[in-house]
Parts: sequence; structure tokens; C-alpha cells
Amino acid sequence: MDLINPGALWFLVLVAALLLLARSRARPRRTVANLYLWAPPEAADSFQLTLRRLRRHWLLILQAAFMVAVIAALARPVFSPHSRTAVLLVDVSSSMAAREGGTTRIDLARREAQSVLDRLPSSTRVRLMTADAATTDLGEFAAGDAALARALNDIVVTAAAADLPHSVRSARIAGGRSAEIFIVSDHAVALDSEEGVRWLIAGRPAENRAITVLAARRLPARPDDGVVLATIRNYGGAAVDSAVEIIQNGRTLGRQPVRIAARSSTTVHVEVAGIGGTIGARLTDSDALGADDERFTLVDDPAPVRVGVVGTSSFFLEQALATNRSVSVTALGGAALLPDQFDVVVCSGCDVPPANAAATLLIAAPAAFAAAAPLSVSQPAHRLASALDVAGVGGAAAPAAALPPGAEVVLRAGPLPALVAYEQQGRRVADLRMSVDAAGLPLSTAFPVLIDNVIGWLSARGERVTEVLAGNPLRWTLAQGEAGASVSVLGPDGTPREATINGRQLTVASTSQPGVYRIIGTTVGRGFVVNPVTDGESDLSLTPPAPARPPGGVDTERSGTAADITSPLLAIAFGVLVMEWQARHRAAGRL
Amino acid sequence: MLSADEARLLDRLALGSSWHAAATTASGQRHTRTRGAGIEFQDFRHYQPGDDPRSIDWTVEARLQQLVVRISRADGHLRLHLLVDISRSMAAGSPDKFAAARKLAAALCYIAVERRDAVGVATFSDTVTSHLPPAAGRPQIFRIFQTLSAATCGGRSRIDRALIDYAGTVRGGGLAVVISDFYQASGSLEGLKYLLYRGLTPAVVQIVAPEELRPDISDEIDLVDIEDPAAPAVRADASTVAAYRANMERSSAELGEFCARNGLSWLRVESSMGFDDLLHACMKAGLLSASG
Repeated sequence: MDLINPGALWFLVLVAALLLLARSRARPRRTVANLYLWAPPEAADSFQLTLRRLRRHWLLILQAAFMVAVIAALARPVFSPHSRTAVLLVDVSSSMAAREGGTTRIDLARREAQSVLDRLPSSTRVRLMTADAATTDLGEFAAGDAALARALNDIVVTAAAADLPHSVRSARIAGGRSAEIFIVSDHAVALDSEEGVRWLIAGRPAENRAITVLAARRLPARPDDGVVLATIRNYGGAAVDSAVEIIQNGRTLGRQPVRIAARSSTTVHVEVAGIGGTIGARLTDSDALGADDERFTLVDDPAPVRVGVVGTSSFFLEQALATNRSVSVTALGGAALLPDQFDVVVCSGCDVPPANAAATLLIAAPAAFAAAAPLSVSQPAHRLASALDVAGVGGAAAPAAALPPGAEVVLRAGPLPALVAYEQQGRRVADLRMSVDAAGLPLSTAFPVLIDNVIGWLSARGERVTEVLAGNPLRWTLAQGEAGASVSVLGPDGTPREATINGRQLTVASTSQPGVYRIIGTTVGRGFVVNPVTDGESDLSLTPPAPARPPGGVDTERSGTAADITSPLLAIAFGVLVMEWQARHRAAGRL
Repeated sequence: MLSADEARLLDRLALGSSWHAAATTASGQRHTRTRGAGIEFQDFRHYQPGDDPRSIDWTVEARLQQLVVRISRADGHLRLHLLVDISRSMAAGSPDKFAAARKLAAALCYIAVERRDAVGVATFSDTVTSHLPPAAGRPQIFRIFQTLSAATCGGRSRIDRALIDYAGTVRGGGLAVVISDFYQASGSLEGLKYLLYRGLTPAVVQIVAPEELRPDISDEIDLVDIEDPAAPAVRADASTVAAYRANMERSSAELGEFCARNGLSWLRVESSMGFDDLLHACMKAGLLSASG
């Protein structure tokens, strides 16, 4: 049992004062003719003496009992059959930012949470957690602690989606087996176990539109121009007339009106001249949830891959490189290779990558090659084997040699490795252990495709993610030599965001806010965009009207769990008062 | 002490005829079968040492050479001894018990004097504090009334000792009406027994106050002995009243049983009784009777 208002116990001092007064009160004296007839009979035992003493002070006992009952009622005792620990799990996913009249769902959620906290005994330990892409533990507080209320008010909604079942599992671990879990969300989901779970639903169904897809591509024929594709979905029950603004690098390029039927999507295509940088799309009309009315994407960098050829180049190799418009080839001849001079170095006749080379294509030049044998793809999923058709193509591979640690054999000529891919000292190496001059692969249509794949894999073009959903981390591989670099990440509001570098792995986990993020200090990219999650978040009609039961038979309630026994105590106090009145009148002979 | 109406009531009463007076000194209005120093001859008996020589019949001696004494019929003059307790406990009660005792003593005195009986009064607490020997005649009424009026309650109760002291000072028999509350822890039977031994016939009149019979106690109070205020107070409450009343009844019953065993008159009256009720109680107990 706990006390909501323990300060009332100070009134027990009055009970002590009553007893002291009764004890110190001078008893009335009466003069009688004799005392020997008043001698009490011998008590049978101490129990009889105790009973007699109790009977003698019965009125005082009743008066003290009345005061104690009233004071106990003032202290607001609550009896909770459940545990004294609780977990308050607040959904801070994107949909919680939806507007509800003059407030938002997250504000309603805070009120629901606070009402639960107000009903809990003040000594209950409450762990506050938030649920979006990850489950965040904000700490443990006493239910009546003002810090808990502040922490609740400081909760911020993100643009990420919430994995409530996973968050509930985390809450069970954090709170312990006996903890009661209060989930504050705008919708309920089925859980593995509903034991000890209370759902607090905040919000009602609402109409909403969202930009669910935004893509920008350069036109192959005219790489300086491009096309923007934006898909808008109407989650509401009525058709909506809206408009989409296309923005490039913060400048509005144009507005296109759209009409979206109920519960359907519409795609808008816009051609953009001089496309590049950051492309954004924005809905012009306001709806319940504003976070999903805007979306961004980054346009590919048109700069060609710099390829340097070291050693004697092969004709077929030169031809294969020349057909790739995204590649600029430079033959070094005998010139020294400078650091960062090329994105990819083709080293013909090399066994090991040359110094200062970033990514390297080694082309073997052994004294003799093995007999030609049919080629086969050993790693179809590898990027080097993308769209590579070597059926019926043969090739002569170099004699077998030891493979470097972690090397992957992508192509084989018979049993011999023909193309090996590995990373060495932070740089990618593709080892083509085949003759590029002999008949077979060099003369096949697969050879330029292979060379294109090799250049693409070595340069890592297109491998860097430039767009992530809110709540998901960004992971990049930094360029060689940038492992110890000081890389900084700025969020959409210009404030720094935490970025961790482990070797050449750059990770940015703080992606809850949608918008354009800038990365400074690396050459592998200038930034990335974070877009809001729309799946499961933008459809605000999923919220059931309270107090409907969500799917899965989840028990939803908005009341506290502790039983306040103030009223029974007051009833007891009244009963004691009646007993005292009766006892007093009986003693006075007036009954 | 007595109003005219009360006197008229008393004129119709007499002391109970069952009492046997020891000594008579003059003609009264009571005829008894008791042999005494009267005029009318009743019988002879042999001389016994101690007999009055003047009662020896010398004629019989001369004739029979035997010493015989003449027994005459006594004319029934009662010697009434009024023993009134004036200890401090008699001042307790509302109305106080001494007022009732004084009233009763006065009434008995009046009746006795009107019947030409000898009556005396003694007041006592732990010992006899005043003594007016029995005498007949109307002046005795006034002397007794004056004694009673002058008496004030004080001292502690030692009834047995006071009765013993008194019995030791009187000669001859008589009716000794002891008017007291008989509140003595050690009892007062020894004193009554000594009165009997000394030839007196005790009549016991116990006077109690209504609040002593039915104490009105609801809350806890401290009881203080009126005769010994310095003694430790006794804490009493509603739960101890029943035990007190049982003790009270047991004490009175003991007194009553003693009187019944010895053929003595005993009555318990309340100090709040009216005069009529007081006389009625005395008549019921045989202490008084209608004159006739």
C-alpha cells in the first residue's frame, strides 16, 4: 500500500496530543463516605485487567480511532495489487505529430500519460521510454517526481516509424517481469503477450496526404538534364485537389496541380533542366500530418570516374574503357602515379597494386597462361558479375596462385580463378588473372560489361547511400586515407550530428529529423537526405476511435490501476464516530 | 428539631413492645411481665448475694429461717439509649445522613419522653464524644435536642470501639438504638455484641445516602475518603460500580443477619426519606408501633 498524500500523516501528532491530554487531564474527584467498599475485585489474570483497562478507556479509544481513520483517509492510501514498478512507453513515431484540433497527438499522449502517473502511488518507480525506430530509455523516476513530468514534456516526435512490439520487449527487459507497461500511442498493435500491458490511445482518425516516393534521374542522352518523379498518396476517404512544388537546391522550380482520388496515389513527372544537387517535392496544402508533405533526393554526381592506366595497356581493354562515357582514361606511361590522382588505377602486368593507387585493377601477365577453358561466374550476386553473361565464352587463366585473405573468386576459367576481388589495406583490388589479348573473353560482348562492372566496383560509384528513412542509420565507406579524418555531419537545422568512424566505416545514427544533411571532411560524398517514414505512419485513419478495441484483443483503458481506499476509510471513520456517540450516551444513561 | 405536624404524628406512636427494658425508675405507661423493683408483689425467691437487703422479707426469715427476697412486678419503664454516629462520613450524602439521624433520634426521644420512658443520647465517632444519661421528664427532651443540635460531624468512624466504650459506662439494661451508616472496614459487630453483653438491647438503624446506594458514575473519577482525605484516592468508573454495590449489599446483609440471629431490630433507611417514610420504616422493623 502507498500514500498519495503522506504529508497528512503529520496530523497523527494530534492523536498523540489527544492521548497526552487525556492522560494528563485531571480526573474529577468526588468525596465519598468510605473507600473500602470501592476496592475492585481481584482480576483473574492480566487479560482481564487489560480488558478492564480497555473498557475504562473505550471512549478515548474510539475518539483516537476516529482521528486515525480521518488522517489515514487524508493521506490518500492506495492499494495496488500490481507491482510497484511501471514502464511508460511513449510512441514518438511520425504519426504522433498529427494535428488534433488545436493540439497534436503527442500532446494528447502526454496528457494520457500524466493522468496515469497521477493515479499511481507517488513511490512507484516509473521508467520512461520512447519508441520510434529504436527504443530509448530516458531513465527511471518516482511517479510523483517533477523530473518525470519534465522528461515527459521534453519528448520530441521524430519522423521515424515505431516498432512497438520490439519496444515492448525492450520495456519488459528494462522494467522487469513484474513491471506494468503503459503504452501511449495513436494505435494499438498485437503483441507477443498482453500480460501487464495497458494501452493508452491518443488521437482520432484523420485525413492525410503524403509524398511517398521522390526520385530524380539524369537523362541518358542529356546528362545535364533530368526528370523528377513524385508519387502522392491520399489516405483519406475523399478525393483531394492539391499541388506539388518541385524544389532544386532550395529554389522552387515549379508547381504542378494534382487531383488525388480517395485512398489512391498519383505520380507526377517533371522535367528539370540543369538538374543537380538536392531535389525536393512539397505538397502545398496542409493536412493533419505535415512531416510527410515534403521529401528530398540527391541527384547523381555527373563527374566521370578517373581511370589511370599504368603499364602496357591492351587494345581490347582500351576499347572497353572507351565505350564507358562515365570514365575518363589517362595513360600514365612511365610517369609516376600520384596519390589521389585517379579513382581507379589499371595496372597491366602487375601482381600487386602500385603505390599511391586507390582502387586497382590488376591485369596478370604471367609467363604463360593455362589452356583456355570455359568461363563461369562463381559469385553471381557480386557486383562484378552484374549482367555478366559468359556462357560459351572461354578464357585462359593464369596458373593458380595463392589468394589473398578474404578474396572472392567471381569468375573462373575452368577450375582456375579468372577474376578475384578483394580489399587490401582499405582499397579494393580486382585481379583479372586472364589474358586480355587472347581470343575468348576479350572478343566477347561480356568483356566491356565486365570492365564496366570492375570500374564501377572499384570506384564504388552508386554504392554510397544518399537517402535514408528517418531513424535508420547512414553508413558510408570513407576513402583511403580518410580513416582518421575529422568528419562532421550537420543536420537539416545546421546543428552538428553525431558521426562515428570505425576504420573507414562512417556511421550517422542521428537521423530522426527529416531533411538534407551535410557531411564535411570526406571526399566520398557531400551529404545525404533523410525522408519521413510513410508506411504505417502517414495513414492516420488506422487510429481506432476510443474506446474501440484494437486488433488482437488488446485491453485498452484510460484509468489507473491502484485502488484508492480513501472512501472506505471515511466510511470507517463515520462508523467509529457513531460508535463513540452511542458509547458516550450509553455511559451517560441517556440511551 | 421537630415540627408540630411531626409531633402530632409521633403522638400516635410508641416504641415497639417487644423490647424488654432492664431497669425502671418510675411509673411508666408500659406493663411488662418482667420482674423488677415495683410496688405490686409477685413472688419470693431465695436470697442471692448482691440482692438489695431492703428486699429481704424478714417475716419469712423469722418463720422459715431462710433468707428470701420479695419479687415485685415491674411497671415497664424503658431506658432508651440513643447512640448517634457523628463521624465525618455521616456528613456525606445529599441530604446528609446526620440530618436524618438527628431527626430520627429526636423522634425516638420525643416518643420515649411522652411515654415517661427514660431516654439518653450519646454521640460518637471513634469514641463517645458526648453522653447525656437516660432520664425521664420533659426537660430531658430539650437537653437531648440541644445536644443533638450542638453536635457536628467530625472524626473517623470506630463504631465498635465507641459502642464498647459506651457500654462500659452504663449500668443496667435498656434499648440502645444505634443510628449510624456503619461504614467501618473492620465491621461493627463487636460493638453490638458488647452492648448485648452489657445487658443492652441494640437496635440497628443504618442510614445511607441515595448516592451511596446508587452511585452515578459514568466517566473515570477519583474517589476521596471524606474521613481521610490524605489517603490515596481510588479510581472508579462505570465498570466498578457493580462491584461496589455488591460490596455494599454484602456489608448491609451481614449486619442484618447478625441482627436477625440475635432477634434485634434492624432497618436501613435512606437519608432522602421523608419523615413519614422514616417512621413507617421504623414501624416495619418493629422499632416503633402504633400506640394503643
